[in-house]
Amino acid sequence: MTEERPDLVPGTLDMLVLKALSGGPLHGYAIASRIQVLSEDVLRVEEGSLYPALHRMARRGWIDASWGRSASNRRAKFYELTRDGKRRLRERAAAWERISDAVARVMSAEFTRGARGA
Amino acid sequence: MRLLERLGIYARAPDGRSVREIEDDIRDEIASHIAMRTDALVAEGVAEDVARQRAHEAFGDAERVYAACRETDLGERLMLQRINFALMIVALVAIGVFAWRAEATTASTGEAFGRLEGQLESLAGTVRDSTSATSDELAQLAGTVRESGSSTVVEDRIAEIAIRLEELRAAGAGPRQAEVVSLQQQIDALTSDKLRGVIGEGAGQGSAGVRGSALGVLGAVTRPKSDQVFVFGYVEEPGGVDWDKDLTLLMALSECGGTQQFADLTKVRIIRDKKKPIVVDVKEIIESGEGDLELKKGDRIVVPEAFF
Repeated sequence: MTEERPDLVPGTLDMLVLKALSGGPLHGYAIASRIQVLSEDVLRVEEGSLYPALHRMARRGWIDASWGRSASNRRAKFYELTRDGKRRLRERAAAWERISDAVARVMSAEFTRGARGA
Repeated sequence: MRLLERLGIYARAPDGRSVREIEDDIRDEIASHIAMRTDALVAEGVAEDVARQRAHEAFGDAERVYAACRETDLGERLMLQRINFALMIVALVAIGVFAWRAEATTASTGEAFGRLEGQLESLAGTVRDSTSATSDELAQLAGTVRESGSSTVVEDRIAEIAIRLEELRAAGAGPRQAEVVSLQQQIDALTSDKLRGVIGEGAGQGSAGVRGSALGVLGAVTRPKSDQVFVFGYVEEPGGVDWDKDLTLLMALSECGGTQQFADLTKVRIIRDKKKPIVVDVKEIIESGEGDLELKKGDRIVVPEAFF
């Protein structure tokens, strides 16, 4: 029996892509693979969603694109962070940290059985 | 910013590549991704054809991805194309409406002159039957026409004159047979040749030309005395000139203040009794000093306009 993979939290794809690129230029296939590996195979990026997101971020100036050669010597399009992209990643990471901490605090709360609210 | 993004306009400068290059770029990128996925599966020991099929399935609807990327990359261009297309449609509609209006205006101008011509013919018919119009009343009517400035007003006045002549005929006032015949001939000439020539000149000048001709005709028949000759058309002061047996054509033209700038002196006509008009080359007479004609009582002299 295989464990079902959860969907990506809405709005997090851009942040995950920017984070994957923070280690250096990658092509689309490598970005998807890196997110999958870093999440220990929990998160899998829909390839059909990845490319429209990459093109949208390129148009917004967060990433730059250029053609190059992959490790297997395939012609591939590589993306890298721009200065705007790095700033965007910091902003999104900070926001995500606040939200995930808040969610974690709520989810880790312990309640006394039978107690009623004030 | 959000609104601009929704419209497909992003902060970056427009892509310098052609639409075809951008489209090829997207297709190449998708093909590259599927090829790399296929390579990875083959490396895991999957047969190449199976690997390729699984790579395609994993990618999903490649055409939908292509369309989404294309919309993003060509956002402004697609929008501009749509705006251009819409503007072109608007321009075509505007040109169509303009052409239709121009056609309608031309048709309506033609109809207006057609109507005017019909009214003049009707007037001529009325005069032909009339034996009772008095000169004073005609003079009064001619004065009314002179005061008018537009072709529409002239049309109205001509209609009024026609009605008035009918009334005069019905009232049986004292006969002015010679003047009525003269008016008949002149209006006949006007409705056949002159008016058509004037219409040919165009709408704006046409109105003034018709008016001027109508005034010339009426001016010539409003003199109360029968021992005159009548000069009308392109002379400075159309009207009657007192006749004596020595009066010549040049003298009569001179009495009317001379001819106007655009008068055709080579085709001056003298209408005498009910005979065919005599056409005289006044320019030749002036230059040679010979051939000046003696006029007879009741002669009508028409100085036409020179058409260039």
